[in-house]
Amino acid sequence: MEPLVSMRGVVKRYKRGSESIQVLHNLDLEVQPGEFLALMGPSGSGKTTLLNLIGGLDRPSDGEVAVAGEHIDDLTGGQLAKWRARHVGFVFQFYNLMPTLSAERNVELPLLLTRLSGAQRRQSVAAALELVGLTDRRKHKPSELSGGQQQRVAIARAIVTDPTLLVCDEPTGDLDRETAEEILGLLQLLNREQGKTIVMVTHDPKAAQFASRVVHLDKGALAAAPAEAA
Amino acid sequence: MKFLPLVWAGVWRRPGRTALTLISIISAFVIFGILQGFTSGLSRLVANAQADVLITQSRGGPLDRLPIADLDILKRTPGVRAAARTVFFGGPFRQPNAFLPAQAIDPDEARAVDDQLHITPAQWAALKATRSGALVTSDHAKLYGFKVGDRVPLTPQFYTNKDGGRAFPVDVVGIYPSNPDDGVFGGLVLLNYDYIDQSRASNAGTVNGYLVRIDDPLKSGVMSVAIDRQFANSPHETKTYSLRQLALASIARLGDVGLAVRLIAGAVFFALLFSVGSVMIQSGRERTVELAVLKTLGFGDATVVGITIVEAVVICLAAAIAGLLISTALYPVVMKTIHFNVKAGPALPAGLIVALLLALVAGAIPAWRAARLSIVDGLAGR
Repeated sequence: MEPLVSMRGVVKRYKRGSESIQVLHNLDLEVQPGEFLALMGPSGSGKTTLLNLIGGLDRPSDGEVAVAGEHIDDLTGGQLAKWRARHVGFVFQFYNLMPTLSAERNVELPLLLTRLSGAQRRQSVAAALELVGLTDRRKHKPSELSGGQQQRVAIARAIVTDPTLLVCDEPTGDLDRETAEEILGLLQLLNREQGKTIVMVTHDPKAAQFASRVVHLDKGALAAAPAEAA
Repeated sequence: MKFLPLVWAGVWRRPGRTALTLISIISAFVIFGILQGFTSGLSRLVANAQADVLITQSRGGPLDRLPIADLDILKRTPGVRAAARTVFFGGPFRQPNAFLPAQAIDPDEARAVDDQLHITPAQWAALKATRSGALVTSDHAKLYGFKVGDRVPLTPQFYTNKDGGRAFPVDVVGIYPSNPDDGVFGGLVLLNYDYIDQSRASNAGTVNGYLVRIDDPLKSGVMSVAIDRQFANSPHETKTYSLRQLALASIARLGDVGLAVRLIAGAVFFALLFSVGSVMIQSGRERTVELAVLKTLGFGDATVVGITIVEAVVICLAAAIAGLLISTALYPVVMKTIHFNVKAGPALPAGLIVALLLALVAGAIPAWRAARLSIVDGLAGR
């Protein structure tokens, strides 16, 4: 099967003043369609950098990144923005919702970039909020929602355009255990029943257990799985 | 339109700060509206002053009299279409500080000189038929409650009657619409010269000046010289100029009003630009993560710039419109306070242009920063 995400010889360097820091070292990775991949590793291992490259938020210094057959490292900034809007849904550790917008307006944001009519947008937003179980909270602002509810809104926002790929950066990092498991259950549901391909960065081995595959990163390179996670 | 909720949410992200910003912009536009209304009112006064109407007065000034015999000389002057006598007959009315402007005229002469008067033939006829008649403007009728048939005692500033009293009773025979744009007779109580001339105790057979309508407004300068030359070396030398020159000279006496207004408005907006600009920059900084999230979701640089600029435009235009509306309401009060009677000219077009420029300049830096924002740095709050 053709991989959904294919990374070949990916190198990422950052400039910090006059110093060049290499975060990823000649990394190869493939993610199959319908896979739920957990990226684990210690702080500074390059997990988020890798996720940013997969999600088209950043470009590799060297190497190739292809998602659904498209070489996203060749795209211009504007093309990349359009590509993200069409193909990727993002879920962040701190939800990153617009504080002044209601839940439904937050979920609607990615749809503003489409040609859908107002009625069609409202329909899609209602479906996404129903899927995450927040129909009754659609008018609430983020400050009026719990952490778990905010993350559900963020997930609804990520899936409302029906993207090919969901990238999640520590989606349960700011939640208590019980709420975290609810969110992870929801992601698992989206993966199993909606067929969403998910790449999730996590520190938490218990969170990683919800994934179908776990990849470990250490010092910018893929590492063998530690014994307890294997 | 679909981005409007996003723009609106950005505007009211910090309601207290937005309210203070709105108040500061509104205050500036109240000042701007009054100043701009005043200067454009002055400009309109000049523009509306009839260039083909000249005023001939004594070289010694308008309070020196000219003999009525000069009227025939003026009428016979080549290039003159019509000439009309005028006697200032205004004075305090009912209260010492309330001034009722009035002039004694000959109805036929006045009609021939001033074609902007909205007086019906019937009203002219009534004035001619009633020796002590008076045509009053609608503004004065409203202010003093004049009705046709009222007998009104005028108390002119410079005359007493033949009995030694100050009152000259006149009968209101018509009320005509005020026309502030008519700089000839448009705002005056009009009286019969014959009645006034024969009732006053002194200066019979004289006028304060003549209004002269010429054939070609482009020749007002030449005609003024020609008229004055006819009376040169006579006991009553004249000084003639067009109403437009008179309006310009009146404004010039105030100094360079336009420059003063531009300097004041410039200083106000310069200070405002810094305050609004710093608020916009601060607001942009606080929203670094939100802007990065929008870009993450696929909002392009141009869209993010557009949203940032539109937010500034919404704030500045809304406040400018509010400020200009308040200035419209305050303008008459201000004019009354400073004892000026200049009808406000249009301030809205210039105000909206200034508001738009203010928004573009104040929003430029946050918009530029938003465009250049790296998603990775923005999400990290850097």
